[in-house]
Amino acid sequence: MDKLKDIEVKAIYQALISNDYPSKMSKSFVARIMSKINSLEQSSTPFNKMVLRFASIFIFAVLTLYVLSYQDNKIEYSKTNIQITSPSQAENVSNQIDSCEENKDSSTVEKEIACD
Amino acid sequence: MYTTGNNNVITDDDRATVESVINGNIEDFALLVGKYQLRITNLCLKYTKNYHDAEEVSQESFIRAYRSLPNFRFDSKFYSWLHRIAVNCSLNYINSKEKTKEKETITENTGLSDTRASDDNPDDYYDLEELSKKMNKVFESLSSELRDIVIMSDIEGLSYEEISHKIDIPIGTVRSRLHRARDLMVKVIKENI
Repeated sequence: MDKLKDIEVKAIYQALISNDYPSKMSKSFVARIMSKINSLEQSSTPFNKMVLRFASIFIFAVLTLYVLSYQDNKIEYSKTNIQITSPSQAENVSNQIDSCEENKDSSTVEKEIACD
Repeated sequence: MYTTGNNNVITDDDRATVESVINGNIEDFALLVGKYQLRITNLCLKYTKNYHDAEEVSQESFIRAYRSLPNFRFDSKFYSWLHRIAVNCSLNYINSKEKTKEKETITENTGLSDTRASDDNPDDYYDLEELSKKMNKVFESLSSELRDIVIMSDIEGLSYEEISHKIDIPIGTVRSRLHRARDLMVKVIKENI
């Protein structure tokens, strides 16, 4: 502490003699910086890092489990099977035209019959 | 007006202290802060034009320097490196201040940033202007022999050898006169802080 005071006094002397100084100087400047640095160091010790790592893993696991269980509850299964009705794949454009032609033919036949 | 010379009361060799901090003696960083706080705060003041902001930027600079200390390769002097960090922090401050000003102009809330100046407690600060006046009085009261040595050494930055050649006295005499003069002026500082 005496060493720090001695250094501060010399720094003030140097600043004043070379006319390079601010109008005032905080008394607690060094203490404030050192307390910040100490708190930085405390938060970055290996033990704290491990604790933080485990805490984050635990929180992630709990959240994942919660989300998964929440989704399971929401799904409602129907009692019957879902029947998928898909259009017949056999028909294509040419078939449709063919069938259309057939329909046309048959309708004319029917008309003819009806006329008869 | 004056230039800081090579023959400073404070030596520029911080290698031992820096190495000590890197090796885990965190408390030694206080010695570097104590040594350079005035120079760095005054540098920041040239950018911020406001003591409170200068102190904040200066504090930020020291903390950033501490964090980056393991990357310091001793290619330059510690002070030069710290100086660069402080300049960068000051420039960041100016950029953020400009953005804040733009916002203030938009919301017409100007003048909010200066309210802190009135919250000063004089007991928390050393009045360096006052201290300078007191030290100048002692300086003026010194004999011309002592005063000349102080000017040549601490203001003009001449080495003991150069002073010895210039005024034709032995180096030992230069050293003892300088020591006597500095003791008288440092005494005033010690009495006031």
